[in-house]
Amino acid sequence: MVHALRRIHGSLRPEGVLLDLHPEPKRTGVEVWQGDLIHRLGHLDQEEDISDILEARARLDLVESDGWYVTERQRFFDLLSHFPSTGAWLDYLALEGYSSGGSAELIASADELLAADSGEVVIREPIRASVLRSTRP
Amino acid sequence: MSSPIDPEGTESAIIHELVDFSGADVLEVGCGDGRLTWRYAEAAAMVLAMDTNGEKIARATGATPASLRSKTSFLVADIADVELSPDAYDVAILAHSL
Repeated sequence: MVHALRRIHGSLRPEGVLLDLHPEPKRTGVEVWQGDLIHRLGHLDQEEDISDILEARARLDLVESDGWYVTERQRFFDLLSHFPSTGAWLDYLALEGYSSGGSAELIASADELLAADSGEVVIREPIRASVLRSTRP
Repeated sequence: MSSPIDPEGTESAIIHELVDFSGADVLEVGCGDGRLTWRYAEAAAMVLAMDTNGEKIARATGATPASLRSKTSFLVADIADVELSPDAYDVAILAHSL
């Protein structure tokens, strides 16, 4: 990734910016929304993902400390994904090739709620958006 | 089918708050199926978006709106291997790529 960040740097014009969007090292939440009611069912098991995120963040910090970029602004937000059922959610995960899914207990809890009343599965992923200004080391 | 991700437009609002895409030449790395690309490409002058996943790039190419076809290119490529022109872009986006 350090190599990639340096290649991107070389392709940017002077004063160009890199917008980095990646997940926060926190677990993604799984919720069921039914009208105004939000059921927070738990989180995905993502220990490996969180380790990868921390490593990526360290590499970004490294190129910044080497003087290739300087962070100008950051924003933190939750990226929400909405699915009509757990089946639709799991199909989406398979299509996108994601390895992290919900536990059987979590999916059963969501199915039970959605069988009782209409609603949707909502996945809540914390994201950090950073703007890094290209500099000349 | 529309994307199930971010129908609220939170991500879109934040990237436009952080970056001025007006007339910008943009390089997007890890564009996937173009979900994020569509959220800024209208404002940009030119977009080169790449991903290593050929299936996702095929979906992005197929879903490119007619109004964006002349200025948006999708490429199956790894940023570590592809030849990039120096000093060619105003904005680079590293989108959920670790």
